[in-house]
Amino acid sequence: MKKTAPSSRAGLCRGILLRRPGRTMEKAMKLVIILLTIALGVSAGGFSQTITFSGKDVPLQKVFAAIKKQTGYLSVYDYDLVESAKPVTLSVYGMPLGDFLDAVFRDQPLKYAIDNRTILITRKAIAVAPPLAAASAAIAADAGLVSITGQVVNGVTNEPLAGASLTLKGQKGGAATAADGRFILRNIPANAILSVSSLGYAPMLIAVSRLQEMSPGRSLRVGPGHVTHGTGELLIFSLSPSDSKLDDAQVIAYGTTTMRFNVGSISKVSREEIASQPVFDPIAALEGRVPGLLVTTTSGVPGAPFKIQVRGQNTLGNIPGRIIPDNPYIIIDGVPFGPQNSSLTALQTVNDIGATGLPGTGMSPLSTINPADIESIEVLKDADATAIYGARGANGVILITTRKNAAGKTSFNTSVYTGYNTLSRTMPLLSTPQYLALRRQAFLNDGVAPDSVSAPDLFVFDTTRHTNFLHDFFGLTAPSVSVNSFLEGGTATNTFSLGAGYDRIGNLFPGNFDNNRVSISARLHHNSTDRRLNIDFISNFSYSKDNVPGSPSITQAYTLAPDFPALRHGDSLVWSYKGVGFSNIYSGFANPLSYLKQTEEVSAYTLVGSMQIGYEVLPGLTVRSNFGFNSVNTREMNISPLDGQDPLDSYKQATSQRAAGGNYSWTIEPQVNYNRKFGLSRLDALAGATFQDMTSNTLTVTGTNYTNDALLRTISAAGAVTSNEAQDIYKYNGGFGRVNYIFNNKYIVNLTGRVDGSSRFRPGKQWGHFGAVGAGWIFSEEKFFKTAVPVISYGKIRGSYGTTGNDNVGNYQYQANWGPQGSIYNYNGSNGYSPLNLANPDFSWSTTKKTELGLELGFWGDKLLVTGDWYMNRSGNQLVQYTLPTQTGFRSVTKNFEAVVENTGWEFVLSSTPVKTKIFSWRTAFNLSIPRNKLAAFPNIESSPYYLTYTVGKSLTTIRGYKYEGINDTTGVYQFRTQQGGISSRPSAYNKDNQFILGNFDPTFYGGFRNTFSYKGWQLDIFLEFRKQRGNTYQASLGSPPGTLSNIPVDALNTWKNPGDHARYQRLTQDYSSGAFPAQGYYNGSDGVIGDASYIRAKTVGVSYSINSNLIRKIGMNACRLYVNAQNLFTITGYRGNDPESQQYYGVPPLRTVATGLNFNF
Amino acid sequence: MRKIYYLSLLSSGMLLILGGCRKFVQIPPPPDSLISSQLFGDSSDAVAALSGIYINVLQNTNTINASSGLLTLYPGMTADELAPPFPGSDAAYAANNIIETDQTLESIWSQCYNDIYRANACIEGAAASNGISGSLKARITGEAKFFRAFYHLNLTNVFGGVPLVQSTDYNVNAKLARSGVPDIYQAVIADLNSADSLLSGSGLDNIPSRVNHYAVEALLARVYLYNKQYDKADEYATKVLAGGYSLPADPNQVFLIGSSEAILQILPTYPGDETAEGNIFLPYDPSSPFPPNYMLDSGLVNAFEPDDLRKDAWVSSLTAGSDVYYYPTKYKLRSDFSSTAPPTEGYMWLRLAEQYLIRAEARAQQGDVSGALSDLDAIRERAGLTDAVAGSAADVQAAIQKERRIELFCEWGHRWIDLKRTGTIDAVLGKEKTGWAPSDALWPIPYNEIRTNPFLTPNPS
Repeated sequence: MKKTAPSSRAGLCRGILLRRPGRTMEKAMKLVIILLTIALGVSAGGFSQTITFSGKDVPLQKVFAAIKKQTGYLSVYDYDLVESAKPVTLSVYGMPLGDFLDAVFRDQPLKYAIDNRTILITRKAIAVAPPLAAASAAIAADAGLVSITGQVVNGVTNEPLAGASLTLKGQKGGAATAADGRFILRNIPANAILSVSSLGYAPMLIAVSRLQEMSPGRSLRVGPGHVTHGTGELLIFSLSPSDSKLDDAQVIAYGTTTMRFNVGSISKVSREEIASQPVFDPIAALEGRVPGLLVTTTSGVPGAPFKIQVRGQNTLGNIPGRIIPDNPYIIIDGVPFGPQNSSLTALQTVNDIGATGLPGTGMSPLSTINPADIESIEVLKDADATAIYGARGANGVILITTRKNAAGKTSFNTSVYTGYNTLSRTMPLLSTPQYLALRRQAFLNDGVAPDSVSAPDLFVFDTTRHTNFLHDFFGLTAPSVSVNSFLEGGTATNTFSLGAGYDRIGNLFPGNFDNNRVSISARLHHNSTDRRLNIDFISNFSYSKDNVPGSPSITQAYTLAPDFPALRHGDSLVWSYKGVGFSNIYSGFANPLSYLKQTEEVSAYTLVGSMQIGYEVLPGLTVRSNFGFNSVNTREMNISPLDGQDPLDSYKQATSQRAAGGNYSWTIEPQVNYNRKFGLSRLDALAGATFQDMTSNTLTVTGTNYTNDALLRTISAAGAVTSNEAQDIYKYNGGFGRVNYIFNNKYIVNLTGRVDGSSRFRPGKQWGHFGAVGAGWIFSEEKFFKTAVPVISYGKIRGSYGTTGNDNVGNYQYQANWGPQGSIYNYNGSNGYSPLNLANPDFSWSTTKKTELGLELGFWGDKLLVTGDWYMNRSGNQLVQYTLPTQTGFRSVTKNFEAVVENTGWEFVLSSTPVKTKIFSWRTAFNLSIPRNKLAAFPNIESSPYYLTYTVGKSLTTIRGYKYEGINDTTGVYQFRTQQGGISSRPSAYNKDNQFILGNFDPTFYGGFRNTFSYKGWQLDIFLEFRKQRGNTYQASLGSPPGTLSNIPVDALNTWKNPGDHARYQRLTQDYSSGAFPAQGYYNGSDGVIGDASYIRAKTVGVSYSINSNLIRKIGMNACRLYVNAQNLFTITGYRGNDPESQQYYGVPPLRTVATGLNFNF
Repeated sequence: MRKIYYLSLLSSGMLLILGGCRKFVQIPPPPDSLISSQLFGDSSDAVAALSGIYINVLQNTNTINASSGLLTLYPGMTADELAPPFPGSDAAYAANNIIETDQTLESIWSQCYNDIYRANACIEGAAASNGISGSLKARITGEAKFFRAFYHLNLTNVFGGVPLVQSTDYNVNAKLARSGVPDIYQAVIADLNSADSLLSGSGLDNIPSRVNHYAVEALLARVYLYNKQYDKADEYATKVLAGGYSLPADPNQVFLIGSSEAILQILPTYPGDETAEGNIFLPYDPSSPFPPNYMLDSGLVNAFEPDDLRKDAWVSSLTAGSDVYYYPTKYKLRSDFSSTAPPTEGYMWLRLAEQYLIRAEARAQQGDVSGALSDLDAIRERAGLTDAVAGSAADVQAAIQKERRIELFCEWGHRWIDLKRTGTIDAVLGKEKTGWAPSDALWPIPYNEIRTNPFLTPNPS
């Protein structure tokens, strides 16, 4: 190619005349280039005397061709002459032909003359010296007409701004800057007002007369920008970047945009907002802040996972009453996060309230990411934003972008805080006297005399004793510490940043439980001096170690009788009372504090590395490739020493379990990006491919028969070892493309397409096609609108429609798999195999069709921004674990079926800075989401396994159950409505007519409200999160009726005792054969236990003070800020239970954190 | 021109990359599992598929499952054998106050059907296999058919008619309604007859830890008795009784591994591991003043004749407060994982004593009173009791039922089934239990099953 280059150049010059054979291809390519560089900029229609032209380094011949096409004027020239001409870089709109030719020939060794629609080109007699001097007549007073030569630059970086527009107030014409930011305005009235504007920058308005008065070297401040009289007659217009939120960079799939030009539905949470919250897990920082994103804390145990859902549930659940939330797809710096939102742990932890491995149990994988490393989190919601992720975009996408680095003086920033975490909200439990009275009443009600066997709490224990077991279990104050440092700097071509952080959060449980994280990050950016080569290298590494109790037995914190004897003396557990083992007093009772001895240590090593290399092959044409690697390795050790086991228990044995897990994901995404501006058009086209490989494996090793607890930390000392290994391979491949076209800063069209292949489907079912179209109209840019409604400074209507998919099922489900039984047992020397699944070879992609309409308005110079979105997502061809009756041998099969789930909703965001002065400012932001979920269609639901679970037309969280009809005044037992309109305390579950639709647990609306006040150095930040919803009260969790051997909240004392009582709850009972016993079961499944679970929570309250004195500058500090932040400070709710958000009665409610910190910058 | 060259190089590069895509998403078979055809293509793997059913019995001995004790404990409570000594959720079974949403019901149902699925998968896998010998195919199919029959029969014993699942096709199985009890008996008999011929001559006759043709015949004798085909019950019990088994003289020896009376006995293999029944029934500490997990019904304890050796061997007691609590000690050992000794007791599924009692009943029903008495006396002699006294056919029948109650107590719910099939349940339990209703004879169909299968009908309540 190096060899051919010179000859082909020669050929290009003469080729027009010679037309050598074999050059056809060359011509074709040339044609493509011409089309791409010029044609789009050429206004169509008849000939005129004005030219619209935009191009960079365009050969003169092509300029002539454009002139001919637009004006009909023919250029006559000598080839040798033209060959010596410089290529032309210019961008003009509607410029008179004469002016255009002046500009074209300004720097040329040529001159022109017009003769009867012919342009004659000749050599200039005298070579003009420097090109800038050639424009010395730039500002020349000529009968009130002047010309201006200028350059528009970014006022901060001094980079030239291409495509900036120059207009004259109230007049036609104008110019746009070329790629080097330059422009020429000829013959404009000297009394005109010049407007210089570029999107994303504060516009500049200046009288032409003032420009004329400037002398060389002088500078003039205009608004936030300034004009400088540079060398020669060149005027440099430095525009200051706009502070409008509309022009903030917004990360999208494979690129960035701004809110102004985006036609998709994307919400962004900035670093500033994340940093204001003393949270360990970055997901926690999103709660309430993103419309359409529902984040739910499952537990207050540090490291506990979060339920994340974007715009509602798209798929049917397979577990009765427990829908697995459709997790959005999580991407960090372009690399899909290996574990996504599934638990990191393979062994049991205190979070496993439900079955191990389900969402909401184990350890949150995102807690391995340091929130301080995050620049922004973008949530992509509609088809336009997500369709490029094709098969993985159905449930929305969360893009996490780590901190960027900026060029300039090396700066060092450190932030330190220490905080305290306490239990947020629990219901008070009965004191011993209340409890004893309750138990006696229960026996009295049942007509049974208690004795030491049936009521050890009344007859065996010390009834004067009272223990608050909640406090005993998790009543501690857990400290947290966070230290984060960030160093950044560099030159215009090389920048770097280094970050390091340490976080520790203690646990409420007594003992050495805490969650620690060390993270380091490095980011390098290089661009060649000509800016054509761009390389970004990002790596984030973290090591976290979570020490949690290894047993989920915290239920008894709530249920133990308050007079129960002491469970521990110091560090050692107690197993008996007065010489009698607890396990004999209560059959099988094990000291619940044994979890303190059974520890689970989870170490996670997380690496997210990515490299992006881009090279601008041709102007605007960039070839890029992303290489990403992500690994999350876990090491777990779960120890169960004899010390934590009942000495009377004959199965007691010291065991130690190890698990080594790995989630590896790598991606390669080659891309070609074409990005050009032609006159008023901007085109951005992207084509690329994705290769993704995700592997995960878990090795679990169990050691038993240890002879000594002290050796439990080594598997070598185990008497017997068994192991179990699971491996998963997932491969994913796709090709994608996107074309974004913006015309005149007003009309935006965005087309996205994707072809996807996933290994989760059997060959032949692997490929799917997805696509979306988005469009927007910035109507505020229309002249008529500007004059008619000046109060609206920005207005855009946007909409999108498209399809995305979902392959979110297990691997290899299309074939019948059998796995080794993996137990310590064998039979007759043969290890067993177990069937793992029901095979279904036929399933494939599910498809979600998303429709979105949005309206964005800015008022009073964008001081108030309001956004409203309406969306409708319809997920058809559901791909789920289809519920089956267990007579099939399994509870479910992976299957597609023809049900349609529809999520519709409204989302509103309002942000404003009502007051902004030098000493006081008030910023406010409010978001509100109103979701609605319904099962839109389900053919033949009556004969499907879902016939009692779902109802067409109702939400997926619709509860079907018994209709509570109060307490029977004779028996004192709950009663319920039956099919015949009758009333019964024991309505058969079998009779489907006994069950009624009781409403649903979807939030009616949710959102957040943030206010930030600054006064001098002080800042107050209040963020309120709110949710309106119904939920299960604590009564739904009660395993046995009140009156049995179990403590209950004080609220439950409000019971029926005598006929005529107006009590909230039925009579107490301790008898499992009494009618009150089954009635409690029906009550748990009735609307009697459903109550309001709405809340308003002071999610974040922060006060900070920035020290702004000479002192800190003297020691070289740029800034220093002291702050106090509180998370979950208080909650306003009428919820009958512990916490209205997690709604788990027998769990650890979310913690309240108060942290004080210091942030300084050198 | 250079640029054009770059561009074309680039585009052809992209095309090449995209061309490789289709292959990219092909993944190798899972490294941690086998697919059905691989599994049954290899003899030892095919046997391992079947072993999974046996190993299910042994899993988690500190919790009982439908193969290892649930079907002893819970029918024992709904009948008049066992009760929890103090209120607990199990008390609903003893009070015949079972709620259809009860988790134990669901466990029994789903565990039995999971094993039925395994059996069907083995039958289908063996039939489709080209990699295993004909004799191994016969053995796998025979054992699998036994299990399929066994679990269907167990389900029927407590729930009445249940869906009859005879393939792995979930499209069919998910919509099956309940078959009538006679149909289930017929299907069970057909499976067992087939298993009998498949397993005869398998060379495993003397290994009671594996299903052999005697085990099949023993179960056949039981089903024929339940189905009132007395001649057949007589015939098959006779075959088993001629199989070389014998009753150990000491009742303490009956449940030990190697018991001469074991026709089918599943053996724990892990050191220190004993049976789930031992773990659930034996108290942690018999000297403590608190009752065991479950206590024997006083009616049962009192039904033992004086000097019955079985009472000493199979029943123990402890004193808590002023009360004496009896508990079953057929299995005498709890698991002790600190021990490295091999297990000493095994899960007795089928034993000789039942065959004597089956034949006694079948003979009595066919009018052979003396034959019936001689079989009955075989049992009584081992118990150290005098021979039964001849009387009317009805007296003999009553004596047999009484002997079944004593001999087979706390084993696989025999008492519960016997009360039902002899039509005496309302008379007996109506006296014992307050609030007894005839509909209590069948357990509720688990609600979760009704909820997920619209074709399933509940039992009357």
